[in-house]
Amino acid sequence: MLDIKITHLTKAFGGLRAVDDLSISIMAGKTTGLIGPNGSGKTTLMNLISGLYKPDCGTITIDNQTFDSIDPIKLRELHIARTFQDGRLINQLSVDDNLLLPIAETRVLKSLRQFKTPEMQKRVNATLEKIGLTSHRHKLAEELSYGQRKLLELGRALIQDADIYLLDEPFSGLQEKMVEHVLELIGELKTAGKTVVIIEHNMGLIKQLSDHIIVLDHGALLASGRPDIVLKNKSVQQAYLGV
Amino acid sequence: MEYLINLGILFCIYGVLALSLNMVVGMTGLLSLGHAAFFGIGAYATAIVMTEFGVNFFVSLLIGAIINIAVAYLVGKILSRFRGGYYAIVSAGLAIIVYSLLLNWKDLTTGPLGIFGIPKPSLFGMAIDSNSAFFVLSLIVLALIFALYRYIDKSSYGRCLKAIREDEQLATVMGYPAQRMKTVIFLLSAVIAGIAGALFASYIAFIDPSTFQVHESIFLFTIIIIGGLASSVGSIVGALILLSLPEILRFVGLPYETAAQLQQIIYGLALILIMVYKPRGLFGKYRM
Amino acid sequence: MKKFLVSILAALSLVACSEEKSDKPVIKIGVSLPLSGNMQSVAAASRKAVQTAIKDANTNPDNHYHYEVVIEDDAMQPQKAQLVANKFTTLDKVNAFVSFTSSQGRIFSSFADKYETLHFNCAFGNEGVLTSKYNFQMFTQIDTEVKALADFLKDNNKKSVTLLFVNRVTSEELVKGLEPLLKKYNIKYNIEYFNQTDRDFALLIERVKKQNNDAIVLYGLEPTVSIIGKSLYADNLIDRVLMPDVIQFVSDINLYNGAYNIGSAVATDEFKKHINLDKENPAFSNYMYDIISFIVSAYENTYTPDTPINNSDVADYVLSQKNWDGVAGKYNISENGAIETDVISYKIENGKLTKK
Repeated sequence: MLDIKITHLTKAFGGLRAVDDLSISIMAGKTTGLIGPNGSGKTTLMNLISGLYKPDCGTITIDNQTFDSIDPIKLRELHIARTFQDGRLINQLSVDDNLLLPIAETRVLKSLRQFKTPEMQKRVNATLEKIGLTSHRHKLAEELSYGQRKLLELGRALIQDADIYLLDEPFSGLQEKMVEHVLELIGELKTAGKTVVIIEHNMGLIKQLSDHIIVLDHGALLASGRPDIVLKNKSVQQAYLGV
Repeated sequence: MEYLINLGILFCIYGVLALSLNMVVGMTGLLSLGHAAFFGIGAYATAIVMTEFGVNFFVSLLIGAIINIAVAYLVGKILSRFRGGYYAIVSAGLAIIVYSLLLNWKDLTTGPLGIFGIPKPSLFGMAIDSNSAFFVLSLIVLALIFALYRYIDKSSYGRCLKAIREDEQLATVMGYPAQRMKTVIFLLSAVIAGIAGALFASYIAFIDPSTFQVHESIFLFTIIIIGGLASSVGSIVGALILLSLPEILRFVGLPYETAAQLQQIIYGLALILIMVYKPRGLFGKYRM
Repeated sequence: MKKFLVSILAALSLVACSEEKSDKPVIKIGVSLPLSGNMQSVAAASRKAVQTAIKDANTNPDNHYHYEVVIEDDAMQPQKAQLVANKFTTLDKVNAFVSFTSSQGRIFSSFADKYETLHFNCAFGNEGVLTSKYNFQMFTQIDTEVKALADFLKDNNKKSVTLLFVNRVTSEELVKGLEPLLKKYNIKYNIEYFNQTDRDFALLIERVKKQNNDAIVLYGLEPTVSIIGKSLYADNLIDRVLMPDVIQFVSDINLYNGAYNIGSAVATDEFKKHINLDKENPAFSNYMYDIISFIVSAYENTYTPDTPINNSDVADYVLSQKNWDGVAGKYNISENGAIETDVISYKIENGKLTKK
């Protein structure tokens, strides 16, 4: 079980401070909802934790290892898996191959000697079963529907059996049935005691899933705490809900 | 039959070149227009060491490979800063630089005079000097490179290259050292292009710098576009079509006054038609 | 429908009739030319010359053979030359073939050796070309050409010269031959190379002007040679210019008024009319005509009734001759297979060439 600690983290793009001197803790083994109005820095924070951006200052501590910046290549080592707001898949690879990517060998010479092992196949089969895409396994990712793509991306995170899951709007654009399915899958992560961070705009889903909520506004911490308390916070309602 | 064997030898050489280029362009998404350089380096390495020092053909392959690895490594470092069209332009620059060196470094290459009298290979004292024997050698090399391509394609390394091709950042997030993986395939591809160059030099027995200009890179690019990106079969079929079509047109019986020009027009029209009906190429697995 | 079929048959029979039929034994000649690519403007006239020479041979009732020609495009690429040479020897089974430029000649020479086919190369620079008795080079020879250039410079009291050469094989051959002669004659020289693909020669011309040498030997191909010619003309340097054969393929001879050309014989107006040259550059067409005519004369002179053609005998016959008269002039035949005309000096005056 790993926790994440952000200390005085700042990231600016030109004159705009997307993350502004942020200090927060994400509890190990809990599901944390990360909410805030559009442009509040949620995805930027996730990109900083997953190494896609380098912080201007501050540190990120993951399971007692402190980093000035995280090299994205280290995510596997750090047992972090993430999904993206825009649903990034390798479109011209099959569903199967997209799932194999995060579990295959990464060292050049070893990857040259590795093909689809029975162990890898077993994991892929199990994940396909979980996400309900077994019959689509040979399709290219670009041939899938929007909802199926979201499921595949989540499946790509799940197959890694990581300790930390960073899920950026996993429900956006999904129909009700799919939302139920994704809820179920995230529920399994909770049951397994994984550390999950979810960015989501649907308050109902956030309340349902989160053990803890962090609210950002203009890159800074606005509020954090239990969902029932945070969502009743007047400044949160003003900034986020426009009430 | 001899004529077909000779055409077959050229087909094998260009098939090897197409496979090497498809590793970089089709599999990895690197728009390299510099392959004529590696082709030329391999050819000249073989020509020089065989004619000046009497070195065995297969040893000359090794020397060409070493030089190509060194050049590809250095150039790869520079190229890694670029993407897409810029990558193409910079890699074309490599082809221009190597051509200029081959043309002007007269002490080493004899410049525009070229090198002639390049001997045929010999293996365990047996000379491979008949066209049939040389065809068999070329075919074996083609088969080996074809098998290598398929091997890489099916491996985890190949899968990763395809991920890098589409979304390098995502591949990195999944733990792949994208830079290193691109470098390795680039080096391998350069070595293979050099092997094709060695075969070419020994087969034609005369080389000069004019063969190894940017237009040769463009010709190779055309082969893999027509045959299909990221396709091993496409590489072979593309080479077969682009080499045999002009030769087939020789037998069509066009009037001498316009034969050369008409052949070019028909050739160009054929390529256009293929691209209209098969925009991914004949066996393309990847859309750029 | 009946009318339609009759018309078709009539048309087909007309086509059949238009093909030359002959009872004579056939001599097949393969000609490889750069009909596409960079040199195609130079090859166009040669194609016409070859076709005219064949026609002339076949309309001569005294000839014992009927002559056929196969013309193929090698695009000045070695791999295409290899395929063409292969086609000529193994498919077309020609008795003789003709190649153009020394680099293509080197490829064809190995086929001539292997298949005992007569090979005539239209170029100078015979290294790797005259490799056996079956290989001939019919043009001027590089040694003769460079000696004529060096002698011209010496005889005209030129103490210094700029060698302004395009970076290609012929230039290398010229430099190799010229350097020792210039040293022997104590003529100071500078060598400046330019690329065929260059278009801006400002710096090059500046260097040439600074050198201020007594003469400029200019060698290149179109369009670069004309671009340079224009600059030299504008800078009043054109009367220092001496060109080895360049006048054969320049597009505007008036650019070089005042300059000299030394080298092969330029096609006469009469000859150009004979081969139906219109606006095409006459470049070396007279030599190509002569090569075909020479091949014809070699076979005719070795003809023996009811005896199969023997190329070894034909080659021996050629080598036993001392000279031969062609449209380009008198050829001297040497033991190594070089068949060359004397080098001619021309002055370019008012858009015309005057022999000097």
